[in-house]
Amino acid sequence: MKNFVLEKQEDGRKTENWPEWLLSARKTAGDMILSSEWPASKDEEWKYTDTSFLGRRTLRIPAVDGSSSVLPDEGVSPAPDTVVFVNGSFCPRLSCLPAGVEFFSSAAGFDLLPAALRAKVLAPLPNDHPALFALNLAYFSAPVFLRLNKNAAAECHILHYYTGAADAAFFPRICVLAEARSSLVLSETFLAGDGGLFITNVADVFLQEGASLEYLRAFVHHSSAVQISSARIHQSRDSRSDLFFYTNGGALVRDNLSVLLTEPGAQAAVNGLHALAGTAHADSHTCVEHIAPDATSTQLYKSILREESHSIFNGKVIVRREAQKTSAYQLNRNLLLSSEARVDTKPQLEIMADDVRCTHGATIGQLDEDQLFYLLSRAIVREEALNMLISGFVDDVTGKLKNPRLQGMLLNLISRQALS
Amino acid sequence: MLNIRDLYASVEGNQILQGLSLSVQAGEVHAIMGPNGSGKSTLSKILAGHPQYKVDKGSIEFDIGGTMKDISAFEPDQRAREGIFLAFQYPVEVPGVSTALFLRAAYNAVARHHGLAEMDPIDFDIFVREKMKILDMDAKYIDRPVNVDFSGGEKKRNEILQMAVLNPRLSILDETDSGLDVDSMRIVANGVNVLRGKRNAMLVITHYQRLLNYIRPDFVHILYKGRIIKSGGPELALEVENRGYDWLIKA
Repeated sequence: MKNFVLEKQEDGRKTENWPEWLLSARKTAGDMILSSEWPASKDEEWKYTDTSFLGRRTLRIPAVDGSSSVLPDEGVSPAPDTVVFVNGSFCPRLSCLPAGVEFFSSAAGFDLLPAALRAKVLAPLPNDHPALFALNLAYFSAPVFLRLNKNAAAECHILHYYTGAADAAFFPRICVLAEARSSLVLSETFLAGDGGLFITNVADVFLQEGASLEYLRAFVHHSSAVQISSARIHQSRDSRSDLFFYTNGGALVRDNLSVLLTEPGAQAAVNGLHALAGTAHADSHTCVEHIAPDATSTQLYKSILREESHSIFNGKVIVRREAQKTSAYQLNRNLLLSSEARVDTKPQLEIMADDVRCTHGATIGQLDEDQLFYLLSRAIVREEALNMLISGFVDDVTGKLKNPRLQGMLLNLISRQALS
Repeated sequence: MLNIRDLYASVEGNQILQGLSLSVQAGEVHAIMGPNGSGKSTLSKILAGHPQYKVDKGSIEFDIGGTMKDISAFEPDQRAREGIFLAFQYPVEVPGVSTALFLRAAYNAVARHHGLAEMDPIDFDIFVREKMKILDMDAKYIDRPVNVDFSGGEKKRNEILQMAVLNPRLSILDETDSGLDVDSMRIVANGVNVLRGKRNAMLVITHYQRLLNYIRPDFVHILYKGRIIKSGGPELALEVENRGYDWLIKA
């Protein structure tokens, strides 16, 4: 991976306040990527998502600083609890910092991580490619760090806009420490315009005892944009996560999601939707690990495929020997709206414990002709009838988001896309 | 209002209707009876415009704005907007689509077509609840997905509810009595009777006579091998009840 060019040597990637442990890991990561190749289809985890074409492009790493001149100064009133980044730079004047949470837009916040957790954010995910994970570590510059104190409740909505920067590469990162019994509503929305942008982002969330999280991640991109992401949720006793992943695929979207249920009573609801058209490509790899007993996980991923789009779901549930009384459920359902579209789905269970309840499955289908005729016979015009059936297909998964603001954001993104 | 002339129609290459002719005027109720396989369901599907059913010969004319027009090439939604309604023998379940959304989309599609005001969700809710009372339907169904987890009787009531909402000029009831107990049948028939009027007509397709005790037809037609072999008044249905179809077929 030698095809990155720093736009300015000694750019705005200031590291003076960075924790020492992070800086040394960053240096190791920088050395590692120089000797690594882009993952290609011969790699089992990347069978359907070949990234070797990225190695043949020159990707610029633009200077990132604390302000951006792309958006207008006046007449903008930021929504509450909203943090805006433009081309990787934090935009204070477009942001309204979240209340009830300690917010950092620099790596200095990482020092608030207890020593025992630091190594965890430096290790690649189980379904990740080590070099791609290292890429973010080596180059990230304006991360978000959030800490919720015990019993705190907060909302934070992060918007990343990428525009007018051809062949640029961006490395957003977020780390959240949610202390005991705190509760967080979090969203990260990435919107990339044209120009063949490359984004590789990493998220780590620590949910301590009894903490709860509702987290929407949405990647809505131009058909030339590539995003490869890693998100990892570390869950302690009786914590609860409700996760939602949404994408339109861009040119290529790969999401690696790891949920670690490390203590008893942890619960995770892991949901996703790929709504793809054109030549969009979306690949979701989920890995839910039941490490402790009495934890529960449910997964529902759906995809809608138009034209020549391609959706991949690879969902792994691992139940360790100690994780007795595990309950794990996983379902992937795909709706093909075109004969040119393609789905590859691979649900996997690896169960080492013997007293568990696990189910999984996958379906691939088309619109039901009888349902369509039924709606048409009730005077509903064809276009509207098709939209009703498609909305009906995703209704159960979009309904998984309970927070009204998150649900509004998601439905808005879906309907905006349906119109385009 | 409806004029079917020498109609030949097929499904998946099998010709089912073979020279069927039928004329229906506004205000009339016609019963279509016949043994299994005589073409009763094909007649209902071909009138509603099911894509798998093809007209091979003949015509289906329907009164549109005072002129009889051949609707053989009309799309199903177009027919419905012009006032043709099919109550399905087997109503379809539509997961994820709420009954309220579905009914209002249907109502507004017809209203829009006729240049009438569309209804917003609140007005429509009041409107549809009134209609549900006629059918003794629990209001809870309005928020559920269309026909999902409805019992057989509830599905049939939902068909008549849709009919009440759309107020069609021509209603085709395809074996609406099948799978209904006597109480449900009485409620459904009562709903249908409330909707009878001078400006609309009904085709009641049934295998048995019993539904016709509740929905009294003006005319009864016996369908056999894809054509009408005998027509008469309500007494013909009673005769079929007593004697079966054999005497008609052999005649």
